[in-house]
Amino acid sequence: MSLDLLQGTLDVLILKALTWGPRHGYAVAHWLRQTTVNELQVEDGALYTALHRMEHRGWLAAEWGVNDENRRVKLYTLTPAGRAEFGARTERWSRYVNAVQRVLGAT
Amino acid sequence: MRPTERLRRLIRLPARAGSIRADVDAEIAYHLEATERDLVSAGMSPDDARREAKRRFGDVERVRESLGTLDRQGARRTLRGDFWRGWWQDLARSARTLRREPGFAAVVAVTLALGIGANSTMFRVLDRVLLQPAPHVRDDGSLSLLYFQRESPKFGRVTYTSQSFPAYESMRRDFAPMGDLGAWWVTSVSSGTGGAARKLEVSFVTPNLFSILGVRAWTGRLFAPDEWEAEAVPTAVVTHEYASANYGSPAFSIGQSVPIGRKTYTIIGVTPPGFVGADLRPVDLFVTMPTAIDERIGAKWRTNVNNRWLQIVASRAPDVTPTQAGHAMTSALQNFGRANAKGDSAVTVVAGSIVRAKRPDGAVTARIALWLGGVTLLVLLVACANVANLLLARATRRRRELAVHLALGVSPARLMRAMVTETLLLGVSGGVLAVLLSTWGDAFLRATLLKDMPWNGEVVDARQGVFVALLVLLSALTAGSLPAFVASRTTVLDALKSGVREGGGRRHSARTMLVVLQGTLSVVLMIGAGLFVRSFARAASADLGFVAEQLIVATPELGESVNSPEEFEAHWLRMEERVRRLPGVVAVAQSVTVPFESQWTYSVLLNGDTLPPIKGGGPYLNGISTDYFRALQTPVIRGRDFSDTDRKGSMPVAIVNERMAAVLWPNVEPIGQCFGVQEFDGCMTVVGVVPDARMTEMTEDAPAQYYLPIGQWSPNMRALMVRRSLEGGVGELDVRRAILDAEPTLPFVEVRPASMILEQQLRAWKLGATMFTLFGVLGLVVAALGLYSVVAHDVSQRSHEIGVRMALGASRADVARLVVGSGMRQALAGVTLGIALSWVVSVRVADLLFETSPRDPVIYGGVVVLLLAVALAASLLPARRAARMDPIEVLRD
Repeated sequence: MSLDLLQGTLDVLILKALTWGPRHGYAVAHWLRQTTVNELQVEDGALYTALHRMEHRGWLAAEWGVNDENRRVKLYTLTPAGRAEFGARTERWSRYVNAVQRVLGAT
Repeated sequence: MRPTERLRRLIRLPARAGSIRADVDAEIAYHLEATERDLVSAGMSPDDARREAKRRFGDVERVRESLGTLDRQGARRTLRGDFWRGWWQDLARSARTLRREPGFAAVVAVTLALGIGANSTMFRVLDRVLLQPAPHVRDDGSLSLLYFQRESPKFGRVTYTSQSFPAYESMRRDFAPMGDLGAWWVTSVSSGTGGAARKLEVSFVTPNLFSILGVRAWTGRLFAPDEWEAEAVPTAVVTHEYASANYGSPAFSIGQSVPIGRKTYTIIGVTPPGFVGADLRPVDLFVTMPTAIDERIGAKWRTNVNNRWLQIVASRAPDVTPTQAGHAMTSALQNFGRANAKGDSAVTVVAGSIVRAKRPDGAVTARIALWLGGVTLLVLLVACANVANLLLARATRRRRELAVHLALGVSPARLMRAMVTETLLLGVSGGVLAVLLSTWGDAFLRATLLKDMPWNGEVVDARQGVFVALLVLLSALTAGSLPAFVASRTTVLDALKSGVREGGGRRHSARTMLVVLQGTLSVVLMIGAGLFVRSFARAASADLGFVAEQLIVATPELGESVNSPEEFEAHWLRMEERVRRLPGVVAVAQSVTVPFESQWTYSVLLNGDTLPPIKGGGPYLNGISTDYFRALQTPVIRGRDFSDTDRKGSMPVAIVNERMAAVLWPNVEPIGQCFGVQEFDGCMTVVGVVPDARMTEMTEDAPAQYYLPIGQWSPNMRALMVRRSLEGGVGELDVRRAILDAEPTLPFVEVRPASMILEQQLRAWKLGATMFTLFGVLGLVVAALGLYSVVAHDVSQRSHEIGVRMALGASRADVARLVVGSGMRQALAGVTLGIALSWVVSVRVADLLFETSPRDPVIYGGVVVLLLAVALAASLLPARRAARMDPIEVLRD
């Protein structure tokens, strides 16, 4: 259950990370670590597995490009399907949070 | 598809296992390096940084492994998706292109439809006759029809299918642990009497036959396996067809009564539609043997070992092979034979296929059907060649378009696939048309080849559907692959460079080859047609030795009411006299045998010795009344005809035919000679000679025949031969009415014109002539179209060259000669090959022909002339166009 939740959550986080444009895997990991200030412990390996899975599911498109150091890196881009998925997930998440909030906030 | 995605696909498409692993490694390596560098710049020592990076990543090897798996799966999915999307695109594109050229599409589809339609119709026949057991007969490999083989010094191995009842019972008893045997016998039986009498096909069966064949009642019930004894009210099972035709619906037939012979049967059940037993002979109803068989076979049918009349089917236990069953029954039959019937002690029993046409000694129907199948396959080949030709012409026309595709990077394989798809689409439309066509073909075949065969089921059944689909695939690939191959080999630069001016001047040798092939096959078909038409004509006009026109044959059956030979003769005399009184009847005679339907032989003795075998067969014997030769219009060429004085007690006399005379007394005056017959005492004196007659079979040699006056030889088998005047006036109905007038209680009286009997003899040739002519003309038309299209295409391709020639002074006649010459050269090549092929192959049909050599020079010559004439016509049209070309106009373009 928790793994499932974690996996789903990781997907949303990755989709979010890519809303600003194409990034390579390391950039996504770096962004995650900085934004969550290590609150969410994600193994980098799991991140890559998720990236590849999402690529084949059609949410992400990947292509090989060259970074500013002239190294060959794999860049991930959000596809329209990925963008739609992100929207749906975000909405579901906020509904969930709101609902829990209401329950916990009830007096 | 978004541009980036398309780009990704283009870049990533060659996703082989090696490149996937390298990509994954590179991605992970970069990540670890980048993390390490960040950690070092944050102040960690290089060693610690490396450890920390790995820790953060987790199990590197496992992730590497799972990423590789994920990517490989993904790549496969992508490829598969592309593949199917590609087909779909091809299909849609093909449909669009073909819609732009409806004429071309229609010609191809119709050509294929003719070829496929002919084959699917033929397949249905072959399937019915050769591949499947009779309708509703168990098809699990456990059934065998029994055949009996005996080696004879004179005829080699003789195969026959019938056995005596005691032998059947004995075999059944001995075979019991390995399975069961059932038996049947089909014959025509009269039902009712007088004007209401009809003829029914009755199958006399052992009661276990239905359960052995695995057939269940459609309605009512069938005989129980032990329902053997004759009941007070005998029962009958009728076929679905008989019940529907006579009672409106099968259900209404139950409980109805049917008179058969002397008894009246009550109907207890109906078999499923199409079922007629283990064989394909038509049947109206089934009764068990004890109820009526003694009227037909004789009272001693249960014990008579010499009368072999039963057809036998065996059902084998699951673990018993046909060979084992055959061995078991052979020893059973030979044991039986040693004790009871000498004839059976040297017989081998073969448990053969349940499909009758696969009998061990080969069946004539099967041979004819296979030949026809081969002929239809030829038609399909001609059609495929023509379609290939049209497609090639089209590929040439579209050369530049194809070259552009290739230039834009479409792979030749992909281009080839697109073209094959197009052909497939054409093939499928052809197939659909073919199914429609074969409904007509069915009706035609049913009326010709399969007149006597029960035919059931839907117009197109599943097996035929599968066959048509296979043919479509096969012919599309056959016709489409060569053009597609040629097209995909188009060299970009050549095609784009060569404009109209150069015209792609090279002619396609492939197209010429196809035209030659079509010519060859058409020649073969036309020669086949010629051979069979000639055989048919020869057989139809053959000198029979008697005149079949205006001759009526009546075969009343006196049945059981007759008690003595004298009474029998009196009845027949009464009928003869009554018919003679009909106005318009020229002559009436009694005859023991009917031409082409029954023969009688007794061994002839000359000076106490039997005769050696005679070419043409015989001698056959017939007993006749005095007016016989007048009725048949056979002249007595020497000596005298029989007269009323040749009766019982007077000097035994005979009339022989010329062959008999030549065999018995070569170079000696036959009149006054004397010969013996094994079964008679004394010796018959020859009083007359008649010309040879074909009365047994339409063979090339007439058999030896002799005639005895009916007063001196009177078996109780008889027919009336009625000659009517040329003006006619007397019909078959008048004759039947006259006979019934004389004998009102007769069972069914069969009255037919002799020409109808003759027609059955000619059927094989007529069928061969019809089929070959039909397909030959079809093939010829298609081949002519093919030649025309090639020559016309040539002309349009060479228009520039022709223009130059004309400008340099070639006359219009020169140009026409050039074009016609190229057409005729191709036709000649086809004709030569076709003649050679026919020369070799036609020998195989020699025994199916009548007085026609398989290498008849007139037919071969005729076909050559016909084909060249057609080829000339086909090339003259384009030649005229070429000759009318305006060189200035052409060269300016």
